[in-house]
Amino acid sequence: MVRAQADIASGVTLQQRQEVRLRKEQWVFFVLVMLLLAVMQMSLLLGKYPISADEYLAFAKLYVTGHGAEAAQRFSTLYSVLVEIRLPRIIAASIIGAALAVAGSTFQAMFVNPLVSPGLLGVLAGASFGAALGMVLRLPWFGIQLAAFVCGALAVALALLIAMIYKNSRSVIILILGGVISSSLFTALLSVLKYTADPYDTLPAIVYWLMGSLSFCDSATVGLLFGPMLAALIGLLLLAKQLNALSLGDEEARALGVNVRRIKVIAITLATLISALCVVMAGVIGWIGLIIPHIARMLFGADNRKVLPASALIGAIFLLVTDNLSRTLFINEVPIGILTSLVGIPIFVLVLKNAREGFK
Amino acid sequence: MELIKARNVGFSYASQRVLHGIDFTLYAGDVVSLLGPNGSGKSTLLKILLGLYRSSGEVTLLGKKLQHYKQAELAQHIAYVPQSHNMPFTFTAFDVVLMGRLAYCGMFSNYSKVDRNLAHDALEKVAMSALADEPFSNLSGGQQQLVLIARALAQQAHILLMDEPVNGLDYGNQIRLLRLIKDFSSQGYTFLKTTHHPDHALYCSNRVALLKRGRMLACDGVERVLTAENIATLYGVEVEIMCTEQGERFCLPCGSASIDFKAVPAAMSAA
Repeated sequence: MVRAQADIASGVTLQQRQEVRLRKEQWVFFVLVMLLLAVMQMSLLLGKYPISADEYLAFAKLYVTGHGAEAAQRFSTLYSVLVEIRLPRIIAASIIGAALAVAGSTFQAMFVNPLVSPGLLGVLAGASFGAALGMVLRLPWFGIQLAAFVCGALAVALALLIAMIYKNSRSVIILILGGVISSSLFTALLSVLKYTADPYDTLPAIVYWLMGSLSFCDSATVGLLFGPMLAALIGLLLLAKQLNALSLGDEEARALGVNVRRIKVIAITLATLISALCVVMAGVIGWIGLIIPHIARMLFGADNRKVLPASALIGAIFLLVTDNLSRTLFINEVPIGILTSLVGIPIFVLVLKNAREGFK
Repeated sequence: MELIKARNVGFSYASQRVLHGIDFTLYAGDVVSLLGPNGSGKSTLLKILLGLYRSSGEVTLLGKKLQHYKQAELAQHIAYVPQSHNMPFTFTAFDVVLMGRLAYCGMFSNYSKVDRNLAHDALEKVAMSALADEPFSNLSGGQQQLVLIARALAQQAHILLMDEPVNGLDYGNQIRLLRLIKDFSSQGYTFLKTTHHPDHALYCSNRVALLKRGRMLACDGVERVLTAENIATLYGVEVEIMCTEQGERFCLPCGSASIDFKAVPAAMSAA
C-alpha cells in the first residue's frame, strides 16, 4: 500500500503499473518456456548410452531437415536410442508433468483448498486398482491400461454419486468426503488383490507399477494418448476465468453469472480424464499435483489465467528433471514416484514460506 | 417500475421452515433496507431474489420468472455484494473487480480491453484505483466492501443486493458507505440491503421491510414502518424515534436497562 501511494505521488498511473507487471510476467513465462526446451534437449543427450556432440549434431541436422529415413539408416543405433526410446519418454514426461500439475491447480481452485491434489476424488486409487486387476487377470498390456482408465473413471463416478445422495448439504465438503470414501474403497480392494497376487511375479509387478515409472511408456502408448491429454489440458486452461470465480465460493460465482454446475462437471471430467491417463502411461506419480500449483502461485499470485499455464510448464520441467535423475542416478532405474516425493518434499518445504503468500 | 416482484415466497432448509408467504416488490430507484433479528431469514430472502435458491411461490424480474433467465443474463441485471470475507487465494483488487465481467464473456474467451476499462472505471468510481494491485485480503474491511461494490458496478447491473454492507466497518467507513449508496441511488441504481441498524435505514433508504421469524411484518415507506412500536415488536427493545430540527430522523434506545436476551429469538443455525 505504501508502494502504491508512493507511485501516485510520483505520477505513475495504475495502467502503467499493470503494464510493468504484465511485462515482468511475460518474461517469467518466456524463461519457463526456454527452460523447458533446454531441459528437453538435455534429456535427449542424457542416459546410459553415451552420445557424442558431433554425432548428435550430424544426426539432428539430417533428421530435422526431413531426411529421417537417411538418418535412421546412417545412425541406426542413435536413431533407436534417441527417436524410439528417449523421445517418447521425454514427451511422456512433459505431458504427464504438465497434466498432473494443471489437474492439481484446477482442483485446488475448485475446492477452494490449497491442500488438495488430483487424487482427491479417487481417480488414482481407482486406476491403481484397475491396473492391478489387469495384472492379476494376466491381461495383455493394452487390457491393463484400459482397466486402469475405466476403474479410475469409475472411482470418481462413485465419489460423485455419494455426493449426490446428500444434494442439499454443503456440496464441496460432501464431495471431498465422497472422494475419501471412494479412495479408501479402491485402496482396500487393491490390498485384496495384492494379498492374493502371485508373490513371485504379479505382486512385484503391481508394487513396481504403484511406484510409477516412465519406462512403461512405449511410443505407441504415447502416440495414442498424447492428443487426448493435450486437448483436455487445453480445455482446463480455457476454464481459468471461471475457476477464479469458483474459488470465491459457489454462491458468489453464480451471482457473477457463472454456470457453476456446468463448469464443475467439465472441470472434474477433464481433470479425471488426464489423471487417469497419467496413471495409464506411467503408474502412480505423486506430489506433482500438490506442490507445483504452489510454486506457480508463488510466481504469479492466485489468478488461474496465469497459474494454470505456469503449472503446466513447471510441472513438465519438474518431471523431466526428476526422470533424468531416475534414469541416471543409479545403475538400476529408480521408480519415479519415489523421486518425485524425495525431490519434491524439500522443494515444498523451501517454497512453503513464500507460497503461503498465495493463500491465506 | 417494478423490477423484482416476489409473491408468496416460502423456503425451508431441510426440515426447517425459514420463510413463509413473503410478498415483496422492488421498484426502480428504491433503496430498501431489510431489517430483522438474527436468523429471521434476511440473507435467505436476498439469495432467493438473486436466483441462488429455488423457493416456493414466484419471483419475477421485469415480469419474467427468475428461473427462466440464464445465470449470466441474471447477473447482467442483479449484482450481489456479499459481506466482505476472506478469500483463501490472494487475488488482487483489480482481479476481483474484473470478475464482474464474467457475465459478459464467452465461456472460453478472455477479458477484452472493454472489460478491463470498465473494471478500471468502476474502481475509479469508488476511489479505490490506488489500491487496485493490492491483494484483496490485505485490504481493510471497508476497502474490501468498496472493491466488492466496484465489482457490482463493473457487472453493469442496475440492481444491487447487499448483505449487511456495513458489517465490520468503523463508524466513519459506515457513514461513507451509506453516502455512497445514496449517491449511486441518485445515479439510477436500485438497492436492497440487509442491515441491523434502524438509523442507517432512516438515513439512506426510502422504504423499509421488516422480517421476523420468516414473515414480513411490514414493508412500506421509512417513516411509516420505522416506528417505536414496530421496532419493539421486531427486536423486543424500547426505542424512541426522534427528529432533528432539520427533519432528520434517528432512533434512540430508551426505557429501563433490562438485560433479557430471551426477547431475541435464538439465532437459527441455518441463516
